[in-house]
Amino acid sequence: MNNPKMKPALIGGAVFGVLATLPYIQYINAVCCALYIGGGVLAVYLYLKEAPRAEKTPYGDGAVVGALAGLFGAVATTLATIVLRLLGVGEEEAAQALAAVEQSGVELPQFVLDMMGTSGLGVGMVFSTFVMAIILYGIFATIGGLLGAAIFHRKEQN
Amino acid sequence: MVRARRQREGARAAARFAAEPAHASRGTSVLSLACLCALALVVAPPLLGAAGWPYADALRWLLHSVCHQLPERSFHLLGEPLAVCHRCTGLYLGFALGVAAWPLLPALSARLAARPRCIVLFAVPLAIDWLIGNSAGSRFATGMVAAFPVGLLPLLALNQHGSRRLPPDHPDYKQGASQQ
Repeated sequence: MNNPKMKPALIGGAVFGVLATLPYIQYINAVCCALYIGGGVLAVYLYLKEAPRAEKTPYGDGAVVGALAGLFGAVATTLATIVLRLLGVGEEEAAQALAAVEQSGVELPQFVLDMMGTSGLGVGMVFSTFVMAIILYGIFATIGGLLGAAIFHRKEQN
Repeated sequence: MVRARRQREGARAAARFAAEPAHASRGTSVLSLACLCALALVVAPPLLGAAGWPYADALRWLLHSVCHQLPERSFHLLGEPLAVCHRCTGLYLGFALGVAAWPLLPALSARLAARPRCIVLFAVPLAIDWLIGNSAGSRFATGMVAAFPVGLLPLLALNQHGSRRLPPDHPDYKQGASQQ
Protein backbone atom coordinates (compact mmCIF):
# COMPACT_ATOMS: atom_id res chain seq x y z
CA MET A 1 0.00 0.00 0.00
CA ASN A 2 2.97 2.35 -0.48
CA ASN A 3 1.40 3.77 -3.61
CA PRO A 4 -0.71 6.76 -2.52
CA LYS A 5 -3.26 5.94 -5.22
CA MET A 6 -4.09 2.46 -3.94
CA LYS A 7 -5.85 3.18 -0.64
CA PRO A 8 -8.27 5.81 -2.01
CA ALA A 9 -8.99 3.59 -5.02
CA LEU A 10 -9.64 0.61 -2.75
CA ILE A 11 -12.03 2.59 -0.53
CA GLY A 12 -13.90 4.24 -3.42
CA GLY A 13 -14.15 1.03 -5.42
CA ALA A 14 -15.16 -1.17 -2.50
CA VAL A 15 -17.83 1.19 -1.13
CA PHE A 16 -19.56 1.79 -4.43
CA GLY A 17 -18.90 -1.75 -5.69
CA VAL A 18 -20.82 -3.21 -2.75
CA LEU A 19 -23.58 -0.56 -3.03
CA ALA A 20 -24.04 -1.51 -6.70
CA THR A 21 -25.07 -5.03 -5.72
CA LEU A 22 -27.50 -4.21 -2.91
CA PRO A 23 -31.20 -4.57 -3.70
CA TYR A 24 -32.95 -1.26 -4.50
CA ILE A 25 -29.73 0.77 -3.95
CA GLN A 26 -28.34 -0.74 -7.17
CA TYR A 27 -31.09 1.07 -9.09
CA ILE A 28 -29.24 4.34 -8.43
CA ASN A 29 -27.03 3.16 -11.29
CA ALA A 30 -30.00 3.73 -13.59
CA VAL A 31 -29.44 7.45 -12.98
CA CYS A 32 -26.52 8.03 -15.34
CA CYS A 33 -24.47 5.16 -13.85
CA ALA A 34 -24.19 7.24 -10.68
CA LEU A 35 -22.73 4.52 -8.47
CA TYR A 36 -19.96 3.57 -10.89
CA ILE A 37 -19.05 7.20 -11.54
CA GLY A 38 -19.40 7.98 -7.81
CA GLY A 39 -16.78 5.33 -6.97
CA GLY A 40 -14.23 7.11 -9.16
CA VAL A 41 -15.17 10.54 -7.80
CA LEU A 42 -14.87 9.38 -4.17
CA ALA A 43 -11.51 7.71 -4.84
CA VAL A 44 -10.07 10.85 -6.44
CA TYR A 45 -11.51 13.05 -3.68
CA LEU A 46 -9.70 10.93 -1.08
CA TYR A 47 -6.52 10.91 -3.17
CA LEU A 48 -6.45 14.67 -3.72
CA LYS A 49 -7.20 15.34 -0.04
CA GLU A 50 -3.81 13.88 0.81
CA ALA A 51 -1.94 14.97 -2.32
CA PRO A 52 0.01 18.25 -2.36
CA ARG A 53 -1.49 21.20 -4.19
CA ALA A 54 -0.48 21.39 -7.84
CA GLU A 55 -0.48 24.09 -10.46
CA LYS A 56 -2.09 21.87 -13.05
CA THR A 57 -5.21 19.74 -12.67
CA PRO A 58 -3.96 16.12 -12.38
CA TYR A 59 -6.24 14.51 -14.97
CA GLY A 60 -3.78 11.68 -15.57
CA ASP A 61 -3.67 10.80 -11.88
CA GLY A 62 -7.45 11.13 -11.68
CA ALA A 63 -7.89 8.69 -14.55
CA VAL A 64 -5.48 6.19 -12.99
CA VAL A 65 -7.10 6.40 -9.53
CA GLY A 66 -10.55 6.09 -11.15
CA ALA A 67 -9.49 3.06 -13.19
CA LEU A 68 -8.01 1.42 -10.07
CA ALA A 69 -11.26 2.15 -8.22
CA GLY A 70 -13.04 0.44 -11.12
CA LEU A 71 -10.82 -2.62 -10.76
CA PHE A 72 -11.37 -2.86 -7.00
CA GLY A 73 -15.06 -2.09 -7.51
CA ALA A 74 -15.39 -4.99 -9.95
CA VAL A 75 -13.81 -7.37 -7.42
CA ALA A 76 -16.05 -6.01 -4.63
CA THR A 77 -19.15 -6.31 -6.83
CA THR A 78 -18.33 -9.91 -7.72
CA LEU A 79 -17.63 -10.91 -4.11
CA ALA A 80 -20.77 -9.14 -2.86
CA THR A 81 -22.85 -10.82 -5.60
CA ILE A 82 -21.56 -14.24 -4.52
CA VAL A 83 -22.35 -13.52 -0.86
CA LEU A 84 -25.84 -12.19 -1.66
CA ARG A 85 -26.61 -15.16 -3.90
CA LEU A 86 -25.48 -17.57 -1.18
CA LEU A 87 -27.88 -15.75 1.16
CA GLY A 88 -30.64 -16.13 -1.41
CA VAL A 89 -30.89 -12.44 -2.31
CA GLY A 90 -31.53 -11.78 -6.01
CA GLU A 91 -33.06 -15.15 -6.81
CA GLU A 92 -36.40 -13.49 -7.43
CA GLU A 93 -34.86 -11.17 -10.02
CA ALA A 94 -33.17 -14.12 -11.73
CA ALA A 95 -36.51 -15.95 -11.83
CA GLN A 96 -38.15 -12.85 -13.33
CA ALA A 97 -35.40 -12.62 -15.95
CA LEU A 98 -35.91 -16.29 -16.85
CA ALA A 99 -39.68 -15.79 -17.07
CA ALA A 100 -39.18 -12.76 -19.34
CA VAL A 101 -36.90 -14.76 -21.61
CA GLU A 102 -39.39 -17.62 -21.79
CA GLN A 103 -42.24 -15.19 -22.41
CA SER A 104 -40.40 -13.54 -25.31
CA GLY A 105 -40.14 -16.92 -27.02
CA VAL A 106 -36.38 -16.56 -27.54
CA GLU A 107 -34.32 -19.65 -26.90
CA LEU A 108 -31.08 -18.47 -25.40
CA PRO A 109 -28.15 -20.88 -25.15
CA GLN A 110 -27.25 -22.23 -21.73
CA PHE A 111 -24.11 -20.12 -21.39
CA VAL A 112 -26.15 -16.93 -21.80
CA LEU A 113 -28.64 -18.11 -19.18
CA ASP A 114 -25.70 -18.90 -16.87
CA MET A 115 -24.40 -15.38 -17.45
CA MET A 116 -27.77 -13.95 -16.52
CA GLY A 117 -27.74 -15.92 -13.28
CA THR A 118 -30.94 -17.79 -14.09
CA SER A 119 -29.29 -21.10 -13.26
CA GLY A 120 -28.21 -19.97 -9.79
CA LEU A 121 -24.69 -19.33 -8.59
CA GLY A 122 -22.36 -20.93 -11.11
CA VAL A 123 -18.93 -20.39 -12.57
CA GLY A 124 -20.45 -18.80 -15.70
CA MET A 125 -22.49 -16.35 -13.65
CA VAL A 126 -19.55 -15.37 -11.42
CA PHE A 127 -17.20 -15.03 -14.38
CA SER A 128 -19.64 -12.98 -16.44
CA THR A 129 -20.40 -10.74 -13.42
CA PHE A 130 -16.70 -10.06 -12.97
CA VAL A 131 -15.96 -9.45 -16.66
CA MET A 132 -18.95 -7.14 -17.09
CA ALA A 133 -18.18 -5.31 -13.85
CA ILE A 134 -14.56 -4.80 -14.78
CA ILE A 135 -15.49 -3.36 -18.20
CA LEU A 136 -18.41 -1.17 -17.10
CA TYR A 137 -16.99 -0.19 -13.72
CA GLY A 138 -13.59 0.45 -15.30
CA ILE A 139 -14.99 2.80 -17.94
CA PHE A 140 -17.40 4.73 -15.73
CA ALA A 141 -15.09 4.91 -12.69
CA THR A 142 -12.33 6.31 -14.92
CA ILE A 143 -14.73 9.00 -16.13
CA GLY A 144 -15.65 9.57 -12.47
CA GLY A 145 -11.96 9.90 -11.66
CA LEU A 146 -11.53 12.54 -14.36
CA LEU A 147 -14.56 14.41 -13.05
CA GLY A 148 -13.22 14.16 -9.51
CA ALA A 149 -9.88 15.61 -10.63
CA ALA A 150 -11.70 18.50 -12.33
CA ILE A 151 -13.88 19.21 -9.30
CA PHE A 152 -11.61 18.58 -6.30
CA HIS A 153 -8.24 19.74 -7.63
CA ARG A 154 -6.64 22.30 -5.30
CA LYS A 155 -4.54 24.93 -7.04
CA GLU A 156 -1.08 25.76 -5.81
CA GLN A 157 -0.97 29.11 -3.99
CA ASN A 158 1.47 31.52 -5.64
CA MET B 1 -3.95 38.35 -11.28
CA VAL B 2 -5.85 35.09 -11.00
CA ARG B 3 -7.62 35.92 -14.23
CA ALA B 4 -4.32 36.61 -16.00
CA ARG B 5 -2.94 33.31 -14.75
CA ARG B 6 -6.02 31.47 -15.98
CA GLN B 7 -5.70 33.13 -19.37
CA ARG B 8 -2.04 32.09 -19.55
CA GLU B 9 -2.98 28.52 -18.67
CA GLY B 10 -5.74 28.57 -21.23
CA ALA B 11 -3.40 29.86 -23.93
CA ARG B 12 -0.87 27.16 -23.06
CA ALA B 13 -3.54 24.47 -23.19
CA ALA B 14 -4.71 25.79 -26.56
CA ALA B 15 -1.15 25.80 -27.86
CA ARG B 16 -0.69 22.21 -26.70
CA PHE B 17 -3.90 21.17 -28.44
CA ALA B 18 -2.76 22.83 -31.65
CA ALA B 19 0.92 21.92 -31.58
CA GLU B 20 0.98 18.45 -30.10
CA PRO B 21 -1.68 16.36 -31.76
CA ALA B 22 0.82 13.58 -32.38
CA HIS B 23 1.34 12.84 -28.68
CA ALA B 24 -2.27 12.15 -27.98
CA SER B 25 -3.45 11.20 -31.44
CA ARG B 26 -3.14 7.45 -30.87
CA GLY B 27 -4.94 7.66 -27.54
CA THR B 28 -7.59 9.92 -29.06
CA SER B 29 -8.10 7.41 -31.87
CA VAL B 30 -8.53 4.59 -29.37
CA LEU B 31 -10.92 6.74 -27.35
CA SER B 32 -12.95 7.64 -30.45
CA LEU B 33 -13.07 3.97 -31.43
CA ALA B 34 -14.28 3.03 -27.95
CA CYS B 35 -17.01 5.68 -28.18
CA LEU B 36 -18.10 4.31 -31.54
CA CYS B 37 -18.20 0.78 -30.07
CA ALA B 38 -20.37 2.01 -27.19
CA LEU B 39 -22.74 3.73 -29.61
CA ALA B 40 -22.81 0.60 -31.78
CA LEU B 41 -23.73 -1.44 -28.70
CA VAL B 42 -26.63 0.95 -28.08
CA VAL B 43 -28.13 0.63 -31.57
CA ALA B 44 -27.13 -2.99 -32.27
CA PRO B 45 -29.94 -4.88 -30.46
CA PRO B 46 -32.85 -3.57 -32.58
CA LEU B 47 -30.84 -3.81 -35.80
CA LEU B 48 -29.61 -7.33 -35.10
CA GLY B 49 -33.03 -8.33 -33.79
CA ALA B 50 -34.61 -7.15 -37.05
CA ALA B 51 -32.00 -9.15 -38.95
CA GLY B 52 -33.12 -12.25 -37.06
CA TRP B 53 -30.08 -12.63 -34.83
CA PRO B 54 -31.34 -14.61 -31.83
CA TYR B 55 -29.01 -13.11 -29.21
CA ALA B 56 -29.99 -9.45 -29.66
CA ASP B 57 -31.70 -9.45 -26.25
CA ALA B 58 -28.58 -10.88 -24.63
CA LEU B 59 -26.66 -7.94 -26.11
CA ARG B 60 -29.22 -5.56 -24.63
CA TRP B 61 -28.83 -7.32 -21.28
CA LEU B 62 -25.13 -6.35 -21.19
CA LEU B 63 -26.14 -2.76 -20.42
CA HIS B 64 -28.90 -3.60 -17.93
CA SER B 65 -26.77 -2.65 -14.93
CA VAL B 66 -26.16 0.92 -16.13
CA CYS B 67 -29.63 1.85 -17.43
CA HIS B 68 -33.22 1.05 -16.57
CA GLN B 69 -33.90 0.28 -20.28
CA LEU B 70 -37.62 1.01 -19.99
CA PRO B 71 -39.04 0.70 -23.54
CA GLU B 72 -41.40 3.66 -23.02
CA ARG B 73 -38.40 5.82 -22.14
CA SER B 74 -36.17 4.67 -25.00
CA PHE B 75 -35.87 5.58 -28.67
CA HIS B 76 -37.11 2.94 -31.03
CA LEU B 77 -35.43 1.68 -34.16
CA LEU B 78 -37.31 -0.63 -36.52
CA GLY B 79 -39.98 -0.96 -33.86
CA GLU B 80 -37.57 -2.12 -31.16
CA PRO B 81 -36.16 -0.02 -28.29
CA LEU B 82 -32.48 0.89 -28.22
CA ALA B 83 -30.30 -0.73 -25.55
CA VAL B 84 -30.42 2.37 -23.31
CA CYS B 85 -32.95 5.08 -22.47
CA HIS B 86 -33.32 8.56 -23.99
CA ARG B 87 -31.08 10.19 -21.38
CA CYS B 88 -28.32 7.59 -21.60
CA THR B 89 -28.43 7.76 -25.41
CA GLY B 90 -27.90 11.52 -25.08
CA LEU B 91 -25.07 11.00 -22.59
CA TYR B 92 -23.23 8.50 -24.78
CA LEU B 93 -23.72 10.54 -27.94
CA GLY B 94 -22.76 13.79 -26.18
CA PHE B 95 -19.57 12.24 -24.82
CA ALA B 96 -18.64 10.81 -28.22
CA LEU B 97 -19.31 14.14 -29.93
CA GLY B 98 -17.27 15.88 -27.24
CA VAL B 99 -14.28 13.60 -27.84
CA ALA B 100 -14.56 14.30 -31.58
CA ALA B 101 -15.28 18.02 -31.36
CA TRP B 102 -13.09 19.44 -28.57
CA PRO B 103 -9.80 19.15 -30.52
CA LEU B 104 -11.48 21.26 -33.23
CA LEU B 105 -12.43 23.97 -30.70
CA PRO B 106 -9.06 24.91 -29.16
CA ALA B 107 -10.05 28.34 -27.84
CA LEU B 108 -13.22 27.06 -26.19
CA SER B 109 -11.49 23.97 -24.83
CA ALA B 110 -8.73 26.14 -23.38
CA ARG B 111 -11.32 28.24 -21.56
CA LEU B 112 -13.01 25.18 -20.14
CA ALA B 113 -9.67 23.57 -19.26
CA ALA B 114 -8.80 26.66 -17.22
CA ARG B 115 -12.06 26.37 -15.25
CA PRO B 116 -12.78 22.63 -15.12
CA ARG B 117 -15.33 22.93 -12.31
CA CYS B 118 -17.66 24.63 -14.82
CA ILE B 119 -18.26 21.16 -16.25
CA VAL B 120 -20.62 20.53 -13.33
CA LEU B 121 -22.79 23.45 -14.49
CA PHE B 122 -23.53 21.59 -17.72
CA ALA B 123 -25.23 18.89 -15.64
CA VAL B 124 -27.64 21.40 -14.06
CA PRO B 125 -30.19 21.23 -16.94
CA LEU B 126 -30.15 17.42 -16.63
CA ALA B 127 -30.82 17.63 -12.90
CA ILE B 128 -33.63 20.15 -13.38
CA ASP B 129 -35.09 18.05 -16.19
CA TRP B 130 -34.94 14.98 -13.95
CA LEU B 131 -36.62 16.74 -11.04
CA ILE B 132 -39.44 18.41 -12.98
CA GLY B 133 -41.55 17.06 -15.79
CA ASN B 134 -39.67 16.01 -18.91
CA SER B 135 -40.09 14.62 -22.39
CA ALA B 136 -38.09 12.29 -24.61
CA GLY B 137 -36.49 15.25 -26.36
CA SER B 138 -35.57 17.06 -23.14
CA ARG B 139 -34.09 13.92 -21.61
CA PHE B 140 -31.99 13.32 -24.71
CA ALA B 141 -30.92 16.96 -25.08
CA THR B 142 -29.99 17.49 -21.42
CA GLY B 143 -28.03 14.22 -21.48
CA MET B 144 -26.06 15.44 -24.48
CA VAL B 145 -25.42 18.84 -22.89
CA ALA B 146 -24.19 17.20 -19.67
CA ALA B 147 -21.82 14.75 -21.37
CA PHE B 148 -20.41 16.94 -24.14
CA PRO B 149 -17.93 18.85 -21.91
CA VAL B 150 -16.93 15.64 -20.10
CA GLY B 151 -15.49 14.48 -23.44
CA LEU B 152 -12.75 17.07 -22.95
CA LEU B 153 -11.41 15.47 -19.75
CA PRO B 154 -9.91 12.27 -21.23
CA LEU B 155 -8.36 14.39 -23.98
CA LEU B 156 -6.69 16.58 -21.36
CA ALA B 157 -5.47 13.46 -19.53
CA LEU B 158 -4.03 12.09 -22.77
CA ASN B 159 -2.45 15.46 -23.46
CA GLN B 160 -0.75 15.46 -20.05
CA HIS B 161 0.41 11.90 -20.62
CA GLY B 162 1.83 12.98 -23.99
CA SER B 163 3.68 15.90 -22.40
CA ARG B 164 5.30 13.54 -19.91
CA ARG B 165 6.67 11.49 -22.74
CA LEU B 166 8.25 14.41 -24.58
CA PRO B 167 11.96 14.08 -25.33
CA PRO B 168 14.18 16.39 -23.23
CA ASP B 169 15.14 18.49 -26.25
CA HIS B 170 11.50 19.25 -27.06
CA PRO B 171 10.66 22.93 -26.47
CA ASP B 172 7.69 21.97 -24.29
CA TYR B 173 9.60 19.43 -22.19
CA LYS B 174 9.94 21.66 -19.10
CA GLN B 175 6.40 22.87 -19.45
CA GLY B 176 5.12 19.31 -19.56
CA ALA B 177 7.20 18.31 -16.54
CA SER B 178 6.08 21.29 -14.48
CA GLN B 179 2.45 20.40 -15.04
CA GLN B 180 2.69 17.29 -12.94
